[in-house]
Amino acid sequence: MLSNSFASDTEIEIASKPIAALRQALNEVLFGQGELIDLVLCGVIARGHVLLEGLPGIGKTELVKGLAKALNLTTRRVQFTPDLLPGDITGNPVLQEVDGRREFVFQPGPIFTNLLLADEINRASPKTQSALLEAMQERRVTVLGQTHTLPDPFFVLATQNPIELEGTYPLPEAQVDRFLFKLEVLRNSAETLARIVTHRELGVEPEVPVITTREDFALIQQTARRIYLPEIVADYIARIVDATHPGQSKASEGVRFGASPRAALSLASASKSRALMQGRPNASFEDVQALALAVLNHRILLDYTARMDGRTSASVVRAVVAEVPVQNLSTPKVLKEAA
Amino acid sequence: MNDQAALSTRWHRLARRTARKVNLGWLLESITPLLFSAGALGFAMIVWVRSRGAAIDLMHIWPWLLAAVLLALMTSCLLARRHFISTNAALVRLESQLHLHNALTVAQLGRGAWPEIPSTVADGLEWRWSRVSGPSAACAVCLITALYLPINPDVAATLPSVEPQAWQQMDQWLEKLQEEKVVTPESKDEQAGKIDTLRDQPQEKWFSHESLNASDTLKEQLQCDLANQSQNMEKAERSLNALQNYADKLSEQVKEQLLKEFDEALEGMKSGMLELDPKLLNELSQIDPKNLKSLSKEQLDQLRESLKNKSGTCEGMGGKGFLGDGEGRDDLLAEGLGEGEEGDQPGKGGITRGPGTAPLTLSKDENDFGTNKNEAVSNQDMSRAQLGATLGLQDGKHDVDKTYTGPTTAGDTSNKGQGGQQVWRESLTPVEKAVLKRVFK
Repeated sequence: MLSNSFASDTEIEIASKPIAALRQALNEVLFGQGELIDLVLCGVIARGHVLLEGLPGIGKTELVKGLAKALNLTTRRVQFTPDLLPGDITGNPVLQEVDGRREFVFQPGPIFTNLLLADEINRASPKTQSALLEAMQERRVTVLGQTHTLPDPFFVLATQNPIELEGTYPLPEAQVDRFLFKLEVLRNSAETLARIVTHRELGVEPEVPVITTREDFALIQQTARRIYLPEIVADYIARIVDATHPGQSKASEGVRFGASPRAALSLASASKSRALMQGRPNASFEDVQALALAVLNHRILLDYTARMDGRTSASVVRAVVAEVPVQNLSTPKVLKEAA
Repeated sequence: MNDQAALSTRWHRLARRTARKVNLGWLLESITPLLFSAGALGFAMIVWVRSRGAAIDLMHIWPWLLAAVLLALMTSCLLARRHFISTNAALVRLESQLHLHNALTVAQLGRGAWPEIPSTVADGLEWRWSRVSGPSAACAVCLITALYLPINPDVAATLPSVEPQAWQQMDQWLEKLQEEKVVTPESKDEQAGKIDTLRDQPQEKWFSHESLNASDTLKEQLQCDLANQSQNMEKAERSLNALQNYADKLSEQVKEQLLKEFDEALEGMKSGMLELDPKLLNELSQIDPKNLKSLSKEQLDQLRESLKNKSGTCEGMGGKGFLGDGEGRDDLLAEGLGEGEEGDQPGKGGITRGPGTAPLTLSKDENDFGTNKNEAVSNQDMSRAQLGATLGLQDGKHDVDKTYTGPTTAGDTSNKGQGGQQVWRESLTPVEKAVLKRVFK
């Protein structure tokens, strides 16, 4: 049930300060990745999970650790390997003696944390990967018929390496769909590298101050959810997601499967989160356009011909955003869009 | 608060301006086909009126033109109305163009403040002047062209009409018959009157089934009359010729026959549907075939020549063609049969041969008509061959290799590919082939 009360200017102002501080702190941890930091912050404020993809050594893990410290949240890190079992993540029942009787006692796994860093998630088998499905969507795990609720907030920040694909298991579509964003971590420029070399030492982790408490961050998340989403923006989101399906737009040529309704919900939540980060009381067309790539990129499947033709999901999303007008109105032919 | 109210007013004014612009665009787009239609219709109507020789007064056109424009405007307004945008939609257009993060929509709903108005407010829409002015210009050009296009009303009114070919043919025949003095003018006028009756019906019915049927019947009737008259004149001329030149050699019976034929031909000429030249008929009537010697040789020759010419004229108009090639001569041949003297021997040929029969003998060869003999018929002329026709058959056998190869083991193949041979065939679609070609290039 959506709340009818929208975030006030005061609430937005209160939330904006820690967000700005978080942004600044993380920029001190990861140089030259301002856009990536903004998107990761946007994702966690929108209560979403984020999948980071990039080459080794460019700061993915560092960013996650820095975020955990700044938010003052409990963090667990799991290095995914092919022999990792589901129970290694969710936890296992252990036979213990309690009051003279031997019974199974649930031993929580590393998933019982606020921020789970799933490093190289694509190296685990699909069975293990799917152990995260219920946790990511419903924020709880079920072991031997017993359901255990995860701590609030709960985020999965997963990383995967686009090279060395031998011995890896591509994430199942259902799993990928549960990530709010899939972000590509790009290499640094020469100036950024010079700055890293100047300010960092190998093996020494950067100091990250605690910016918010868990309660404050929960309040920020609550405020983000109460950001106003105008009907025209919701309509725009719906038309963009619909246009990713085959036959619904010119840009969707070569698409095998389009984005799901969950993608539309994710885009709406992320847009509200971005609006809050920018101190606005409403989400806008610009928010949707800015986040469409991060939200839809991993949710579109291309067919064989399109892939062989060199097309990518990202190019499809960009084409869809360019094709779908913000208003569902046509323009008379006697008028043209100004250059 | 006052500032907000002022901002709201100004934003709404800008939005209304944008909405008016878009709605006017839709109105112009809806009127475009109407303008084209009106231009074409006006062009056709003005040209038609002018081609009838009627003068067009420009003062009388203006009210009609004004009424037509008003009607077109009302119709296009009704058609374009479903595309019209509201002020709210125009506000969304403005905020998206000015990247205001939907601030105008939010302010309109009372959930936020109206933003400041930028120094330049552009709705991002420009007129396509070629599309705006094109239809109006085309319509005007059509009307002006129709008004000032040089048209000669006489030429337009007397455009040559195409009439059935049979009428023209019959007209030509009658003209020639009168020119050669074969028929009387009255008879010619009577026939021409029948053609005119057909011609008097409305032009659009000239080529109707009934009209064409009547025309053909009339033409056939005329041809038949001409053929009969031609035959009668030829018969009279032949009889006169025989009586004039071979009277001494003919028997009395033959002479009687010729006299009878002459009389019949004369009667035929008089009673024919086409009334022949009275001068010729008078001359023929005054001749006594039994006493031709009362006429000079020159008079008879002249009369025969006249009959020959007139018969030829009638023949030239398809008289013979109507009855069939040589039909008249067949009749003459048939009439000649049986006129030979009877005798025991078979006829020796000629038109006066007797009706004798071939003698019956006991020899087998005499009665062998060759009916049991089969002969192959072949046709090397392929010019009339049709599609699907069998042009030839040939017996043949498949080229089967009967060489014994001995038993082969399971899984072995007797057709082993050699170097350069195609041993398998791709089953890829053309699209997939193109993709693979591009990938491995």
